[in-house]
Amino acid sequence: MKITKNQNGNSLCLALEGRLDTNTAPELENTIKGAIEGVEELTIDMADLDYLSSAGLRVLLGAQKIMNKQGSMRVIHVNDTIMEIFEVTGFADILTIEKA
Amino acid sequence: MLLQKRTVFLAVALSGMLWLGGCGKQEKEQITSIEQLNDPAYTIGVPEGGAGMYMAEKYLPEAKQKTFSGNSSGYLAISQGKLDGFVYDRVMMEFAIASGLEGVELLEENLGESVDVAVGISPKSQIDNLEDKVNRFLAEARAEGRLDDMYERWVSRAEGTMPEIPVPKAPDCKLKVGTTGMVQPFSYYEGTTLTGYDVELIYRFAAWLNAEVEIKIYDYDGIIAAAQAGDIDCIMANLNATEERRRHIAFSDCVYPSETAVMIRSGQGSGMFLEKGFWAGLEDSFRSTFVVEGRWRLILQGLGVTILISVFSGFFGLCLGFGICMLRRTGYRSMRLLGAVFVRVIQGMPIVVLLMILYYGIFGSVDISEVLAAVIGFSINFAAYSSEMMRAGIETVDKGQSEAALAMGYTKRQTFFKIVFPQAAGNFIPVLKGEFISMVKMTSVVGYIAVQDLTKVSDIIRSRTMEAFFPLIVTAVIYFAVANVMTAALSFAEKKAAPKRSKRCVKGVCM
Amino acid sequence: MADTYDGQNACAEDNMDTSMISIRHLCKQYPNVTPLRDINLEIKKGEVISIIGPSGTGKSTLLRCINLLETPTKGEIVVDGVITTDKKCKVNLVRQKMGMVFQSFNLFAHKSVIENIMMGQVDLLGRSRQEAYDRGMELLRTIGLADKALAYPDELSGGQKQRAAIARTLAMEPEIILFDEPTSALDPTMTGEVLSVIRRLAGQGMTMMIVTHEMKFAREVSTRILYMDQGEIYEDGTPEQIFEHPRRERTRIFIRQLKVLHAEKISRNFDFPAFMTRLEEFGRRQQMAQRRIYAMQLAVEEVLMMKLLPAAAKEGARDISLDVEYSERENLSQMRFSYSGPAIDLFDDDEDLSGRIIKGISKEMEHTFADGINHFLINI
Repeated sequence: MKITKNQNGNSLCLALEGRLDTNTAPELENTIKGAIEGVEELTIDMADLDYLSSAGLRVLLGAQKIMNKQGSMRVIHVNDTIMEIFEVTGFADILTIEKA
Repeated sequence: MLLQKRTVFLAVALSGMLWLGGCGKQEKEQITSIEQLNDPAYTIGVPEGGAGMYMAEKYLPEAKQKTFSGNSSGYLAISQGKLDGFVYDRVMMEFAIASGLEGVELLEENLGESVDVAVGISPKSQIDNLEDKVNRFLAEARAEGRLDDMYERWVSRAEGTMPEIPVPKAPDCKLKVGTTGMVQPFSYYEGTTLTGYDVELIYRFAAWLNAEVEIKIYDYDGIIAAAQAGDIDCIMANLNATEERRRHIAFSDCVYPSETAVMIRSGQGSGMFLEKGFWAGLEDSFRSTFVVEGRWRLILQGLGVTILISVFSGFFGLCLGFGICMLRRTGYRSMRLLGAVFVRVIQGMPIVVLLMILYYGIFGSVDISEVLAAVIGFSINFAAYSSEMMRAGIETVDKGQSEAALAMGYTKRQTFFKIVFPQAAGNFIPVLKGEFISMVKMTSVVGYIAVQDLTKVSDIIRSRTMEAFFPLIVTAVIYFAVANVMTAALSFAEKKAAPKRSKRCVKGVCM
Repeated sequence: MADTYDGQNACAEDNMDTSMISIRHLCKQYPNVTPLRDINLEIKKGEVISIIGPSGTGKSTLLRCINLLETPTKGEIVVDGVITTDKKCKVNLVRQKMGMVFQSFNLFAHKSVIENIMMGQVDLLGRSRQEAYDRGMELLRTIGLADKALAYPDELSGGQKQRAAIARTLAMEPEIILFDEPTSALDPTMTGEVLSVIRRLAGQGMTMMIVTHEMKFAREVSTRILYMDQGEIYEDGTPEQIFEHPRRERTRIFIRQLKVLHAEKISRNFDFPAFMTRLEEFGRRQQMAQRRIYAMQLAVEEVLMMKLLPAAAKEGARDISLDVEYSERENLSQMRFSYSGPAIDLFDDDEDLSGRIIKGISKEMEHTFADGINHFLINI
């Protein structure tokens, strides 16, 4: 997985590319932990994300919990495959999602 | 441009060949004495194992020697300048010149001492004390003046007529005598009849012995072996009793002494038909080869023998070959091995050697006709080759068809003969045809075991006419014709036997 | 011969249960391979038996052993009460009762079609040429080859050759015909003409054994199917049973033309990314949709990584294995996990993310626990 970080003042955009699974989820978790301080607006761009498993969902859930305290979080450019995962797991109701 | 290049190339090649050919024939001074020839620059021809060979070794040790098995090829080599001298029996060479050998002459002086001509005695003869009997007969004949009379008639006066000699009515035994049939005036063919001094001697001795006589014809190089093997009881063939030969067989007392002379090329150029013109020369050659003394009958006999040996060998070889092929397809390893070894051994052996082993070795002590021995030899040879071809032909028939036949309920034997073999035959017959024709031509070597086939007969005629080429060309033409007629006959038979696919019908059925 | 023959026929009709051919403990071994191990089979009159199974599992060898084109290594074959595997048996007479049709036709190349059909009748059945001809022409007419009677085998198409070969077999009036992949060497366009001839024979009550790869045909024409695998009759049943409800594993895989991926002894050191790649390649090879591949990967990840491996870590080493099967025809991937250990349920916890994902992507899930082994089945 490739993560592209784009910080603009207190808004942070993370673009994910590839697979977010058991193997790569810790990487995303560390990236978020290291950059999230003072961020008020977190955007996760999933335009190039192919695969998402429960491990990835847990990281997203953690980020959402932090952002609930210090600002807001959006997940954008979600494709159908990923959207299906969000839907079956009920994440569609928890996250702010913008479809592709 | 290209044409020019080709012409130049041809010219160069031709002149090269001429130069190479001319090399051996550089002009030497005319030979006038025997002593001149004792020089490494000269090449002399000697008869294999004959007195001439020993005389030359003894008195002309410096000269290069070439051995010849027949005298006629020696004469030919002299007349063509391939040899500087040919050392041989004086009487025979005189007769050869008298019967028309051109371009050669004899040196006046004799080479060395005279050598006894004697009767060779086989160590394996069935007749008791043959040597004594021969000697007694010779002594009696000499005492009566008979031997001198014979020499006078055949050699000195060259009358060439055979007197009436009574044939024993109730013979006590059988006498087999070997002679050459190729040297005038001792043993030669007049038409189809064998005649000469030696032949008269044979008949007289047989009459004296009260024996039924059988005369067999050999080359000089086969005749000693034949006597050693016991194929013949004795040799009466103007044979020099040399030391070398005495080591192999016994000899009788001297019949007459022979003198050795040297033949050289005469000053006059020799050419085939140069003097008479081509067509007249051809006509002469034709006449002397076919017409004179009714020699065409000899040729016909030879042709008959050649065809007889070919056809029978072909037939029996095919049968034997089929047997060997079957042997190599059996389930027994040892049988297959046996067949394979047979084929390997025979294929790896020159047919001449096989024939000699059969005739002088295996059947040496058995009274077997030489034609039969030839048929056996060629049958074995043809069997080895034909069995391989059959095997290959059989192996190309697809195994599935055999399985289908077996599955229908055919036995293995039925399957082989009804399904496999007919198809295999279609595969191997064309190849076999070629092999057969090449065998026909191979039969020309049977002269080695005293069979008078076409080739041998042409040698005999050549020894009388002293013609170099014409009989050879005639022989070639006859072989060519025989081969082609046989090919045509086989192709015809093949067509007859093969099912005609173009004719669409079912035999024995009302459609 | 003919008398006893009819007698036995009559007997067979009286009692349809009498076996025409009994095969007991038949084995065929070669130095390196064992194409047949312990075959037991009863063939009754009127049966049409299709033998199916993967290549190289001894189907043809079985047929060829029955008419002794191959000599069995062990065992006994009884044809009409005659022990044919006995050394004293006249094999050629037994073979006359059993026709055989080959994959490669094997018509006699040097004879015309009609002569091919006449030969056996004249040579083996003692018929006159005229009788044999008439019978042959009659057979050729029924299979539509009368106009090719005088043609030679190399002038016929594959389909025509095979029909002629069948006519040649029929002319011998066999009690049973063995078909050894009769259409395997044919173009698809010619398969039909041969199959329809065989179909008609089946309709006439001819006893037949057919080795074939034509599943549809086997199902439709047979009264009985033998599924052979690895040198044995793995499953024997009616077409309905074999094709609809195969009882055994390999039959099912073969019939449903399943593509399989197998992994066993999965442990904590299991190379997860490599297995994901393997799964992806497997999916690509079967030309699955990308979506299906992701779903399969998700199932593996959630079950193995999130559930079974952590559970195994808790309990010490446990045996975990995975089978993935894909049926293109049914558009179904089936993933079967097995876990030897105490019963655990993957699917009952609704709050669990992995459980929800699995439930979300699968068509069907099943958990069974038996003999200390958990079986999880997920259909996607």
